[in-house]
Amino acid sequence: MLEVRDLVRTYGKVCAVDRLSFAMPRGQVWGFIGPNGAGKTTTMRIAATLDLPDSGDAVVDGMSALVEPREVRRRVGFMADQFAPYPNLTVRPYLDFFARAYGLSGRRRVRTVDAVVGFCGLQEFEARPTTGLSKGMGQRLHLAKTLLHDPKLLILDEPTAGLDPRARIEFRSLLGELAAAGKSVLISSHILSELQEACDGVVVLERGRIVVAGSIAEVARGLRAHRTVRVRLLGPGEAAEQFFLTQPSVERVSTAGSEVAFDYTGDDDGLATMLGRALAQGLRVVEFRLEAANLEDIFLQMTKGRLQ
Amino acid sequence: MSEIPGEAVPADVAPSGHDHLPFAERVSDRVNPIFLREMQQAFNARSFLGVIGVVLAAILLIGLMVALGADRAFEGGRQVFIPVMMVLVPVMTMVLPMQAFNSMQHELREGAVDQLLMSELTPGRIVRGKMMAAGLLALIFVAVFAPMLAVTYLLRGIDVGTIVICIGFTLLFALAASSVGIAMGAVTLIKPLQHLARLGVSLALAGLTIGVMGSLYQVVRELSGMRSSDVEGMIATAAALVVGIVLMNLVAAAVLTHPYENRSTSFRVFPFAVTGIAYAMAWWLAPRDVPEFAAVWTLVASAGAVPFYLGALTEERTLSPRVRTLVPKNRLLALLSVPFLPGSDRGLWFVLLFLATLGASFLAASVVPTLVVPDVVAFAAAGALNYVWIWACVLRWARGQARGQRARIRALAVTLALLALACAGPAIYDLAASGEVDTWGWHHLLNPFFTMGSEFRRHILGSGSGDGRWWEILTALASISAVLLLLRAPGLVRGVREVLEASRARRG
Repeated sequence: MLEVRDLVRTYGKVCAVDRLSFAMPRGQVWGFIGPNGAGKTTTMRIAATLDLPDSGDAVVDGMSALVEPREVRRRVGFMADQFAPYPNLTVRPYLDFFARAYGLSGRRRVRTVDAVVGFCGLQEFEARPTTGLSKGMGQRLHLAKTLLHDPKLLILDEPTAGLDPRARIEFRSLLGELAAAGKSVLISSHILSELQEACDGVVVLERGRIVVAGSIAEVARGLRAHRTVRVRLLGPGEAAEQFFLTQPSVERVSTAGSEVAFDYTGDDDGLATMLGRALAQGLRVVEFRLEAANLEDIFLQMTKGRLQ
Repeated sequence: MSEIPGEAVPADVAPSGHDHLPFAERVSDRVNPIFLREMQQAFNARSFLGVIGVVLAAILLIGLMVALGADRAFEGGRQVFIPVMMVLVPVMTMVLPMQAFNSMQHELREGAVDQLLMSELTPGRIVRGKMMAAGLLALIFVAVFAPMLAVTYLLRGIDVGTIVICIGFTLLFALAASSVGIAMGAVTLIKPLQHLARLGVSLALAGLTIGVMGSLYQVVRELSGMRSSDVEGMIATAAALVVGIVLMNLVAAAVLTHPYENRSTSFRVFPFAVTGIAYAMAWWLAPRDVPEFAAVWTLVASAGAVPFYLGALTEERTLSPRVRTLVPKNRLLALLSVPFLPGSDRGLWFVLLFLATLGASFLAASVVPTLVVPDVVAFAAAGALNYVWIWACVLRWARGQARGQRARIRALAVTLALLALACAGPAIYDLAASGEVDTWGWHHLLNPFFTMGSEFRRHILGSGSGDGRWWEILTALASISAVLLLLRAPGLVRGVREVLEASRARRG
């Protein structure tokens, strides 16, 4: 859906984006993470045709942002990190204005505005001035406006920044519905636990350069040669610890009460065999799980927190 | 939560699906969305109602004052018309333009303009929408005054023509002032200019308002039948205002456009269009005076277009990736588009073509045998063309030497310093040698002001140091111009080659 090719963007002597390349599949939600000044917003703005690279290109649904900006704009919904309400304009006319600006007319315009108002839960606020909305409602209106032209790709720049926990959960729920409807979403956020739940893939940036990109599972695999396995047993874990210490591909076994944790460097087949052996040994296993990759781990291990 | 927007709007509901929509809704689909939004905002704003209230109160006050003083030397409608215009003009040329200025400023705050540019709206359409809104609001204010204006006619002492002309010009000035407000509001995108722009706009609008009020007072007070020269003057003023409005709109649209997009072409076409309009009006209004007009226009336009030269010659040299995709595929069209495409090398092509156009128009007009152009005017026109070319080449050279973000400013500073040196250096030499700077000599050749000024003074005032060696001076200037053309030839060729390469790349 989105392919970024050798993107370079400089501002004077500062190289905001340095030969950045990644490809995001259709219908997935990808997180775009990196420290402040890593080049996330610049990349997003270039993909949304609002900025232009010194070299390289961003291709959306096969259309070049450089060569066919109008076509790209029809396919992209860009939600900037700031919501800019208009004074003396209520919610409904605000959306109606943007619907007209996107070229919608007649019954289609009216129905589209109805649909986005309903989808974003803005029915009760239709007559409220856009300058008088809470931060959460403002973000909903911002998203509603972004959805008006039914874009295939949504680029959301820190959409949950400044929202309270409830508004964040509600916003994540909207995101889930959009993903379920087949929209591709590229979302940047500093709240990694939030992205962890919503994202299929991730792009990690630092100082304008790509650190890692791919599905979360791929990235996690590349990040560590081992995976952490946690086993919970009925009764104390000492016997289990002794057992796992003798197993192949197992390292760093530790016990805490009835739970045993160890690093495993083998494949899934070996893991299944090992579980069979544990049960055959009479270990009373209640839970046996591979620890999911954690975005915070990925981020901290991959980036060094350097700013520019 | 409700249905997903994309699913809620079936594809078969085409844009033409207008049934069941009120007539006004259907008509509004054909109107600029910015215009609609501006009007909605204006009608919802308390300030709009406030202004209307103040205006109505002022009208009431004028009516009362006239009624109370009617027994003392009442001059009829004219006595009422003047105070009515004194209330209307500030509303039109100060309140409305400041509103347009604030509206544009708001558009640029917090990235709102990005959201507009992501839609189907273009910078030009955004600016046009705002201009249309300013125009309609101006008409609404005139409509508020309409009953009072009708009363001034019924009281006698002022004819319909005068009323229409005064209102027409006030509307035109209101639009011109609004276009300045919008352009200056756009300029505030550049942060260091924000406060300067607000101050400048306020002062300019205040000055304009006082000027318009004074002019209208004069027109109405001294009304004694319209002379043909008055009509010509009014047409020329109206044309100048329209040209100013277009220029301000171009400025506003250019500021909203990304630097990598094509911001140059409109500014490079503009001087040619204005020249065409000026010649057409000269032929229409005073065909006998066209040769003299041509000489004066050559002088005025070649010097007056300096801001356009500065913009063109201080741009980045190369075409941006986005502009490369706009180069015509056709080789001939690509070649013809060279002077109008961005890039400082092509900027020099633009200067060359514009000066050549002015020169050729001047020569063509001089063929008309009805009038002999005074030699000194012809000399000034030809001299101006040469001087502009010479200093344009210097500026282009200075731009080529500068690198980095502030290259434009450095190039301009270097050129101004060289110009100052060319003017002051010989003068200081004269002072040191003879204790005075009164006599023109060949070492003053690159000083356009002294060279042309001394010839003018000698011709018009019979004084000054010019010695009538016009042909010699022009030959010398033309020689320098030719040498500079040869020196800049590689850059000119480079400018063409880049366009042709982009054209070839587009053809695949």
